Amino acid sequence: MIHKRSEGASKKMDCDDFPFLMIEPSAVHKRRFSAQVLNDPADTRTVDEAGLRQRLQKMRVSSLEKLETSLQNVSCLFKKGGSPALIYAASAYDACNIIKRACGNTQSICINKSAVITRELKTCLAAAGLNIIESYYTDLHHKNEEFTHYWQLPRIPITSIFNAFEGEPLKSPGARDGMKKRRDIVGVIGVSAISADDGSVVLIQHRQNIKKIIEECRSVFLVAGIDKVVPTKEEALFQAKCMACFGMTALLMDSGAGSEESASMEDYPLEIPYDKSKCRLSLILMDNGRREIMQSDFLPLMTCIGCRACMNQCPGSRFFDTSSALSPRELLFLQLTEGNMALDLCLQCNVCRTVCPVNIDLPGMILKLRILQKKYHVLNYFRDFLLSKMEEIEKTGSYFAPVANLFSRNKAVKKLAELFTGISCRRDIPFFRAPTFEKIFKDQVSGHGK
Amino acid sequence: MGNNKYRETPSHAALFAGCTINFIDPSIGLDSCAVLRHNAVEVSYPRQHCCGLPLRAYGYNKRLHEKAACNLKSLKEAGCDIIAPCTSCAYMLKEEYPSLLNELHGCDETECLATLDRTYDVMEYLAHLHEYGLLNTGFRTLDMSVIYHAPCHLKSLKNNLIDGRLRLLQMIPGLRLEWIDRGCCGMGGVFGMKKKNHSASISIGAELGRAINVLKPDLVITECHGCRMQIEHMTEVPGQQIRHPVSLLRLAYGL
Repeated sequence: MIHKRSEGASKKMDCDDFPFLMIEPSAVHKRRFSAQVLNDPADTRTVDEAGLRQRLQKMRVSSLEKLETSLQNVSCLFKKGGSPALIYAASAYDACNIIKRACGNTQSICINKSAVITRELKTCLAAAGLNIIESYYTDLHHKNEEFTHYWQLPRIPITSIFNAFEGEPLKSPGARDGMKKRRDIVGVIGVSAISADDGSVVLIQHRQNIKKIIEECRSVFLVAGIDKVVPTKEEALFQAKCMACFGMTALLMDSGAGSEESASMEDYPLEIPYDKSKCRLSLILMDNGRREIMQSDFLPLMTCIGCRACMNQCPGSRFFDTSSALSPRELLFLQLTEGNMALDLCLQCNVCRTVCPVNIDLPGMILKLRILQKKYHVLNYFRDFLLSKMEEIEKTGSYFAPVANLFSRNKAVKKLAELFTGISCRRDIPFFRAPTFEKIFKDQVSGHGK
Repeated sequence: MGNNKYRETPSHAALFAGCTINFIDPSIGLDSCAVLRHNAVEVSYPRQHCCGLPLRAYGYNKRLHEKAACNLKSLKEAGCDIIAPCTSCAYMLKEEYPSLLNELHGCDETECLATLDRTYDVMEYLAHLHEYGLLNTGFRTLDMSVIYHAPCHLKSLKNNLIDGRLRLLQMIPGLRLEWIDRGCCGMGGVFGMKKKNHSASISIGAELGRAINVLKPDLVITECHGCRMQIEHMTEVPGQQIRHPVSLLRLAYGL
């Protein structure tokens, strides 16, 4: 299943000696691949989900601790100027410049839907004036159905799909299709994991989009955040498999409505002859604020494997950003790296924390940032102070119940309250009750006692 | 709890009512007491303050710690299972208090953790009784259609607590119970009450509202007060038909 590199790590890599692994659903699963088949009760090769989560958490924490060593190992493995080339980008802006320089006449790039691409690079690439093709094939569409909410999907047990994903080495496109012509597009693909012991780069594809980009684009950039580098190949494969199965729901939802209409790769003819020296494959390791986060209180955010499970049930995700839905993890990451995100729109429902396979306390961190970065305006300060005093307000309301209730439904009072408290006048404040439960309870107990 | 050992003598539980039940909807507290007593659980009401969820949301940590310390002290003294009918209070006690412990003065961490470990949402407690075969299942027939909505703070508690309570409620003869999972109702405590969030709040809850309007149930049940307010705001179901599950149980017991 897995291509094993027998040569020593010091040997210079060549394009023919391709260290890339593709994680995909196995052929059987793929043939019948649909949301329903994923829920196949016949598949008995189940794994223990709690055990899986624990193993993943441990692995992520330890690989973050060893990150600097791993990064050094990786840069030794990929020698400068070799193929595939390793490029280090300090920021998204740097990475964009590198990609733009590689673009041909059409100034077009083809991207996949990895978070590192769509959330960090895409805006930058668009600003640089490049035409962006979103390669996302429609194979995952459930017949005649589009998923916009998690409850429309069948329940997908992670335990049974974990083993459906298998790794396979990517063949060198040059060696295989010798003279095949390429399209005048530069491919930009997000990577799931990189191993520091042999330089294996693991990509996940559920259908053929990634393979197609690698085979048909004139040059390809594989982009990874530095946190994707893990010490061993085994860990890299494990991390990618976890990402594939924990992220399945998010992926299926993403494949439904909401996928944007964009140009397709087919619009660009196969016209550029393959030339080994020009058709390059490069790996970009991007920092883009990650080291800074790792040195702050928000370090746990970097244990994220990028599965987007936190987005599935997030009520606010549709509102965090105007252009597309953001997962709470992406919201937090963008706030830490760029700022000015709508943190206020987190409802603090905490469901993301429960579903996260590595137990990141996302709502806790969002709350912390929200409080830290709030620029107080006197009225806001007053409003928050008031709303935090819920117990005291309700106590007072209950004490003056009949009068308070009379006022709370008065239109003029509601308008005034809207101004001071920010509570919408379209909402009805609940009626206060007197006597309080405490009083009733105590009377009851003493009544029983007599 | 749940052990037969406990049942030789009537078991004992302390009610953590929370602000909503105390000042806005005492009937839920009374329903909880009635149902628990009907199952031979003696209920007490220790001295208590707000769980501190709103204080936490706005970052007033000092006052949060004061209230938490007060609550922990009196709950520890009660020395029994703690039952919170409000899922948000249960969430705060079970999931957030443990992380506050190292910042609280004069709190023995292990003791406090042991106390918090015995915190249950009221339906969780009853579902446990049911699981161990200790629940009084002398329900009368209720011929009605009921929709259950699971609040987010219930979903964010560890372990899946939803199935247990659904199994319990299905014991009521004649009841046509349906759990409609349509995500969040959009209220999120004070979030939906705010003017600036009104449209977002309504749009988040739209699917839930639509589903309820289509099904036209006799009763909607959900544990969270915020969800009940939102459902009342969004749907044609009148307020008195949106209840806490424990109120439905009381109705079924005919108490």
